[in-house]
Amino acid sequence: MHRHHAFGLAYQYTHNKDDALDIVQESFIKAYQNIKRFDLKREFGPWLLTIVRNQCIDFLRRRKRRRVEELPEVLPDRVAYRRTERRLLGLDINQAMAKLPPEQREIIFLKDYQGHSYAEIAEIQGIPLGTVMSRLHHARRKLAAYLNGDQNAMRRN
Amino acid sequence: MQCEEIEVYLSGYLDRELTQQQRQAVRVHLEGCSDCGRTLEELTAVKGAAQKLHFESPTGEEWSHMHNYILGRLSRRMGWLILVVWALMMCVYSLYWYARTQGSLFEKLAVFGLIAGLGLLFFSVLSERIRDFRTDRYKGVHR
Repeated sequence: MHRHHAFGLAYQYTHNKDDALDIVQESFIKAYQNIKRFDLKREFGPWLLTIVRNQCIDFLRRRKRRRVEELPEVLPDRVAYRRTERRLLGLDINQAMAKLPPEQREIIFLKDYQGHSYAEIAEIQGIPLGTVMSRLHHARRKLAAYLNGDQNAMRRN
Repeated sequence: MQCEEIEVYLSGYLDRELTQQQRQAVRVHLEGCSDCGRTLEELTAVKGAAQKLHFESPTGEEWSHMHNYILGRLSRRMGWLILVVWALMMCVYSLYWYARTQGSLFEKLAVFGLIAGLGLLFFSVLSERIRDFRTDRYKGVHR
């Protein structure tokens, strides 16, 4: 369970299975080494994901010359996105997600794919609850605009 | 409330993360605002689409390989720790027995001095290496 969540989050940053596995591996080692810092009253999952997230950020720093947003290893998963007044559009959610900045991609993944609460996301990302809501909202709006055919949506802040 | 104020709450409304009061304010606004209703519809569609994300997963063999590697790394660390503690204890024990044997004071001082010098040299080099490794900004860079 935890390993799948950790892998999913790492994959959102790396878009590469081997790199994501390496990150999960190092994260588990770090978690074991720092287990004394873990507060038993809290959930283990968000604590582990915080470590995974930090490992991902380190990974991106090391590979900052590489453009992760445009890596080709994105699986096809065509999703029909429907707007009430418009025709059906067949667009790829994976490709759209890959175009989001890492922090926005991560928050959508944590909330919509893994189903974490805002409080858990706030803990994982180290941000206030209100920021979770606004960051998630902006990410969804951007994704919605892109899926709706606005190719410039991802360039806007 | 105006649309701009309500908009940021729409995601919270969709995720059921608002307080009762905020939720009520959004509901009332949505009843009279078709633009915000459309935005909420878009957000719902995006949330639904994101739930269908697809990515490669490791195979059972890859997970097992990872677990073995972690176990190996952690047990190796423990092994080193036990070895170092054992070596230190043996050194102290040997020196204690040597100090109790017959022999001149000069000979004993010479042996202790040599061991103390070598020990200090070893630990200074070791601590420098560890410090260099920890602060090396390029240690993760593959050459």
